[in-house]
Amino acid sequence: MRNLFVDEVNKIMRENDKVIFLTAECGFNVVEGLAEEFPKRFYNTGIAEQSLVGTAAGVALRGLKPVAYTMAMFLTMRAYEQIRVDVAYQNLPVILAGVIPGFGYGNSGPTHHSIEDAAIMRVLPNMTVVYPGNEIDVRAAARQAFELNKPCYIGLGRAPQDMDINYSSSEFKIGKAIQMKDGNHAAIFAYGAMLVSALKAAELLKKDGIDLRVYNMHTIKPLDIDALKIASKECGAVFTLEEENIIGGLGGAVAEFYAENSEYACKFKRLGVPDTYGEVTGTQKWIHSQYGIDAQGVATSIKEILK
Amino acid sequence: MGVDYSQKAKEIKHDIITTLYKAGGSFNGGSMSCADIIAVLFHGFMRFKPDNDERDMFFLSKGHCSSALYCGLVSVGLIDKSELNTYGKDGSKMSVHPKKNSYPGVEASTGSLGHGLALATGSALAAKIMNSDVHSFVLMGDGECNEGSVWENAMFASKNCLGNLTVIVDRNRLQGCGRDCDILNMGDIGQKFNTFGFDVLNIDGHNHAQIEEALKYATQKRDKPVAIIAETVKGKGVSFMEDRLEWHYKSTTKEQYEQAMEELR
Repeated sequence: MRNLFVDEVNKIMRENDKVIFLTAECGFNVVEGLAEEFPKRFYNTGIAEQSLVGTAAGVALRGLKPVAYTMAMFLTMRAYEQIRVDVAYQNLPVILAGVIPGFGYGNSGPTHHSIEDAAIMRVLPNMTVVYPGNEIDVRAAARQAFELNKPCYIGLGRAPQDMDINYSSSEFKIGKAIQMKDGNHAAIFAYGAMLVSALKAAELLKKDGIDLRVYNMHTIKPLDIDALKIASKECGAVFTLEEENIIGGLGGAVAEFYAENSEYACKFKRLGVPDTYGEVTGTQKWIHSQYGIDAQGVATSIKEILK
Repeated sequence: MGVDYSQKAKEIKHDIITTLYKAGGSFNGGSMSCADIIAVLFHGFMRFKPDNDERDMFFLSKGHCSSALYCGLVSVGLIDKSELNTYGKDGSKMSVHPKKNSYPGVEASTGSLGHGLALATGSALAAKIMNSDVHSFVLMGDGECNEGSVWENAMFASKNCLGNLTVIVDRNRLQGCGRDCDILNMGDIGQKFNTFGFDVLNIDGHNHAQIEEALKYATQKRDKPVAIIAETVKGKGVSFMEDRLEWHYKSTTKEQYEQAMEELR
């Protein structure tokens, strides 16, 4: 989805000359067109994430609207303190675009996986955290992120190969979950690459007579509390599903809500990475199967809880 | 008529010592070492114009020495002097490490070392993109140059020919735990900046004429950022503080405060 994101930002740059694009040596075969079209508004800080984020904050201090674009794990973890102090604390409108969070880099191994970004970005005051799940999401998210005029992290996973998108871009609103499939036996909140697993799990469960409601929880902060209330009341069982550590991310956020609001208490389970780094390598799809976050694994977990 | 920098510097130093004494505060040494630089920069060069986008920006990267920043802003009339009594107090916006927009002239929240250069660089880059002739100044500590982020960003600033960026290093050679040469031995910091593509000036950071000359040079139209390495003495102006490590953290007793005031008359 990085290509779609960059394409949309490129369009926005044609409309708004305040938008500046910065990358830390990331974007081969993705950003060249934008760089060529806007040589005065495109900068590569080199392999230097702290410099990327700090410079973006400085650019924003002068009233421009920077995008800081680089690989998710290095952006959020190498430059975390710059994100905290320079961007979040100063509440500056910097868009932090994290390329391929989760297991999108597959057999590159855990150095190149990002299973912590959701948790650590969510914990920052002033920060909005969004994970688009498809083309409609990513284009709308890019535009709305600029409108926020506040810090915003956008995790850009790989584009889904086959996803029926039953909504239009006007229905995408940062902070508002989108119900992608109806169902009343259980509800699952998923985002990014996990949307595919959730939708396919719903198909598998149908054969067992279980109607799974699927929400695209593209924004994990601010959390769509209304959707959590409705899901709990109408379905009685709620699952979160993410390509991230189960600690602290969407699962953590939803657990916090249900724990503090007993009137919405329901059967609940976090699906994700069980607080571990992989010992062996494999494709993204294979890694999903190992952690039970592929369609089959998700369906199995849901059946287990609903028993 | 030119500004009487020595009078301004004296007042700033006086206010620094008084502010930190009343607050029981730390960082006398590092605040005093940069006071002469602040006096000349603020009175001779900075175009503050708080509500105007077309303004110079100053970043105190060594944010723990905020008393020098606050007292400098008092000196140019951007902060009411009575505010200094609130330094570090409960409910005060005068935080030990300055917060963006707490007062006019406080452009950024600083204090985490190694951040100021990138902020100043971004500010200078933005000015360049907007074809504005405003300047960005960053005052850093020499100990702060231990941070890798400084050098990451120095490469970027010079690569992008940011002639509207001036770095001033307060080279007082003492950091929190000891003499810089005993900790990492930063050696010739000017040469390091030069290798990273900066024009470098080495000056006596307490000599107002030299500070003025250097800033004149730095603010001329150019296509390279400038690093001014200002040799300073930590605690300058108060005999018992000068070049003494303990005055990084220590706060003054009543007797010490009175002696300092006597010496700064």
